[in-house]
Amino acid sequence: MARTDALQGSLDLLVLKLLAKRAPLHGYALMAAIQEISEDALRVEQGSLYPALHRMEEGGWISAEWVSSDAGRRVRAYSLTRAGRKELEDAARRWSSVTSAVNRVLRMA
Amino acid sequence: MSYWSRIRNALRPERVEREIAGEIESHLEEERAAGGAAFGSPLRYREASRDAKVAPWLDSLRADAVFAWRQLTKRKTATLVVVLSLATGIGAVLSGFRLVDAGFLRTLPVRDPHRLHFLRYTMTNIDGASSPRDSFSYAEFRAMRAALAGEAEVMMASFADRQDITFGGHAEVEKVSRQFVSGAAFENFGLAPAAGRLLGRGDDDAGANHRVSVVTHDYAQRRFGSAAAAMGRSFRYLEAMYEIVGVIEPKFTGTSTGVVMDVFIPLLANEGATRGSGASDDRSARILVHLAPGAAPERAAGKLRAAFRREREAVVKRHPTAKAFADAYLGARLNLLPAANGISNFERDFRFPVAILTGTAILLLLLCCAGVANLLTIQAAARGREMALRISIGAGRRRLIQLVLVESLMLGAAAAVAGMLFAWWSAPLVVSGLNPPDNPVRLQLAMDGRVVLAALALAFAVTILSGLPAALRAQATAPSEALKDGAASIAPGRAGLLLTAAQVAFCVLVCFVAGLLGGSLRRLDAQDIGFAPERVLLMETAASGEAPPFETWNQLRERVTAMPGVEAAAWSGWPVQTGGANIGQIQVGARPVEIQGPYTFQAAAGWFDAMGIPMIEGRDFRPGENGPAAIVNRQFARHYFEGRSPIGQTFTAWNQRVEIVGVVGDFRMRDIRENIRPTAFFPLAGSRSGALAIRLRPGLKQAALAGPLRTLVAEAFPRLRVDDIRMQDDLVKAQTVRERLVAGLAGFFGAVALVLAGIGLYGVFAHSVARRSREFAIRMALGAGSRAVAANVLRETLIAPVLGAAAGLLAGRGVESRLRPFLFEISGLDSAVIGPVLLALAAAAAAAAIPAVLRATRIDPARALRAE
Repeated sequence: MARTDALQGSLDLLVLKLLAKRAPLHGYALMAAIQEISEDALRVEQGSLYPALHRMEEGGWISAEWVSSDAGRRVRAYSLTRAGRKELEDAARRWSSVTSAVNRVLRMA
Repeated sequence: MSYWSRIRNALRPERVEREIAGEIESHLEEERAAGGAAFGSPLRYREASRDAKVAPWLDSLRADAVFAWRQLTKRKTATLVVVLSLATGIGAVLSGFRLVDAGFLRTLPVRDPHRLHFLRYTMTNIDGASSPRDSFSYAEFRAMRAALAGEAEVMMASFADRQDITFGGHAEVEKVSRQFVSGAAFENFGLAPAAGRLLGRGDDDAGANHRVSVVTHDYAQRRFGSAAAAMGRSFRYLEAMYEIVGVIEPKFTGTSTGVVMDVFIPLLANEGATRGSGASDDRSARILVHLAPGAAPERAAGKLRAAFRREREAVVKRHPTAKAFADAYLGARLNLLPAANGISNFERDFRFPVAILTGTAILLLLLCCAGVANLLTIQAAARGREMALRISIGAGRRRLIQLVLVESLMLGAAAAVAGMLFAWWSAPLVVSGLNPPDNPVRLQLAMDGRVVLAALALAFAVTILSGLPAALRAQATAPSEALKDGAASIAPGRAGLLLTAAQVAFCVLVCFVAGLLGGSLRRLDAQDIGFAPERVLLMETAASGEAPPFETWNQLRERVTAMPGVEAAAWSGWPVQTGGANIGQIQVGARPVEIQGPYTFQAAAGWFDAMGIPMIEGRDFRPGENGPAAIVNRQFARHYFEGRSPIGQTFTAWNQRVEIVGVVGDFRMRDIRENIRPTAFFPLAGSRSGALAIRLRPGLKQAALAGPLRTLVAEAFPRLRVDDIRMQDDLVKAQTVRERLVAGLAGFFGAVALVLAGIGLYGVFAHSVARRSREFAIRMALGAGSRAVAANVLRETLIAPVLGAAAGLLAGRGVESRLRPFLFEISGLDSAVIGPVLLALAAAAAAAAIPAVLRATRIDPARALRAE
């Protein structure tokens, strides 16, 4: 899958990580969780989240099914697949290498 | 990424839409429950999500396909016309492809076909032209086999002949295609038997007393139901019995690709092939050369040439002959040619007609494409507003091209399917039409992957050719122009004019060729061949062993004459109109013997009368006459005696002085196309074979007499045997079978082309009037008469057809020079050819123009202007 920028990569990473810990989650819950854990530092646009979810679903990293939420509403809940778990490891490794590289540059410059 | 699920999603768009919409809906609910902000623009997210879920290109393709289908079904008549005309074109081309494929392209199913070659030599003909020949004598075969020993396997295979054989009595005769082959051939070809054994080297050595044969699987199946059932059967061929000892595996049907053989007999069983070793040999067999791996063809050819020359020099030394004959005989040039695709008379005889038909079919297909392209372009132009709107709301140029091409792809695919059906039905029909009655061509017409591939390729080509102009036009729409004034932007471009012109040009070309072929056929049919073949039945008869005395032949003639229904009967040496003739070594006065000297022919008393050849002067031969007398034709008298009566004059034939006793009318001897040549007739008195010309009473059928004749010869004349019984008329008609078929098909193509051109022109006219209706309304409002309006319409629309017709005629004259060998005494400048073509085109154009012109003159200015 073409990765257009680092931010998109980080959104994928966040989603995968959250799903690895707390699956199943539906779209709104994912959005709220990212916002809450990052203490409002990261805000995900709905317009980015759903296309990303659907892209990852087509890519076979996550799977979705319609379930009833705690409040009794019908929601589409996502969970991680085996390929997704592997992608999470790769993405996390990529992320930490990128962030450590950026940190090094910030320190040394 | 899962392409498969994205492709699947593209095919069930509603479900995907529902899913996405549902999810967004549930998100909104969650958000509302949490008291959050609004979702933003759900439509945009939905689009983005959709693109992630489905393959966008496929989705757009699906949308275009649905739209195109709706467009096509909306214009049912137009669609039907387009599909049918394209299908005719594709079908015709596919038929042609099947014939070409079966006849010329397939390789023989033998081991290493690319090492297989055959020999052909070029020699000066009796008519002065040099022509290729593939027939060799057995002595020449032996010499060449010796010359290439160890480097190649040299085999001999006779021509395929239609011959009478019988598994029962004399009356139950059937015709089969039989071929003589040298025994080593099958082994060398690497063939296996389907039953029994194949011929082998042993059969070569066993000589003429070894009467065995093998048959093709096709024949065994047809005649006996299975390969096993054919084993052990015996048939009579000429005077000998042959036992079927094996059946060849199905894939091999003979050394001529596509032409299906029935019976193979070892070459040495053919007495003619082995008898003698001189120039008088029966040369009716080809020589095949299977080179050893790595052997160079040029080297082998050199050795073969030397052997061929030596053998011919020996023959000339043994049989001294006039220098002109010896020079021609020794001047033969030998060539070694590849035979991987088989060598056949089909290839030789039908290459040209098949090429013409296929060429015409391709022209027809191009014509269809031009017509459809024009139609689609006009439609695309009429949809200018739609295209402009699409561009305005963001459709890319590529998307527009795709939109139009999808539509023509659907047309092309439908046409290819229909065309394949047409070809499946028509190709065998064409083959059966190519058949002379006595020598049916049976091609193996496989309807296999190659045909399907060809159909696909054609469909693709048709799509591109017919759709691209329209697509390019659509994408070139300038939205501002088109939306400002829809009518102004759809003027037919130069491309449209060109297409119309091309269409008319193709049509004229096809009709011109059809006219040439038809005219040539009419001339052939109408010409006087100099005798009356209609009621003449020919019985070709031969003696076993010694030549019987004249008395035996005469008794048979008398018995036949006494049969009911017979008016007259008389012997000749061989039948006329079979493509052969003898050149005599004849010397008249002080002239030297010429290679192109007069024909010689042997006829017994009463033959001229039976054949309906008029006696001009002098007398017929007397019964039993064997003296130094000759009868000549008028051409002989004109040529050698400047028109003076030749009666009583003498000339020298084979060193013997003969006196001219009669003059007969000119007639065509060899075939119906040749020029009349000086001919000398000598009395037939006792020979080994002859042809009895039997003139039947009017209305009597050949079949009524064939059985009784065979029975008569078998019972009363045991030393004679009947080789063949056929109508003289069939021999004449068989010579125009190809012309008839080719002319008929070309005529059919011409008619289709006319209809297509008519439809195309109608579209152009109608479109022109619709486009300019406002202008005409203004003109009429300002006082223009309907005649002026009509002239205006015609002036604009007739330029292209007139230019096209001129181009078509020019192209036709070009094609005519290539067709020359196939035409008989006709030229394209003949008014009989050009006249009907131009008349038909004018009629088609008029029929296409009248409705449009009428509509133009009936425009109501007030209404037309208000409508705008």
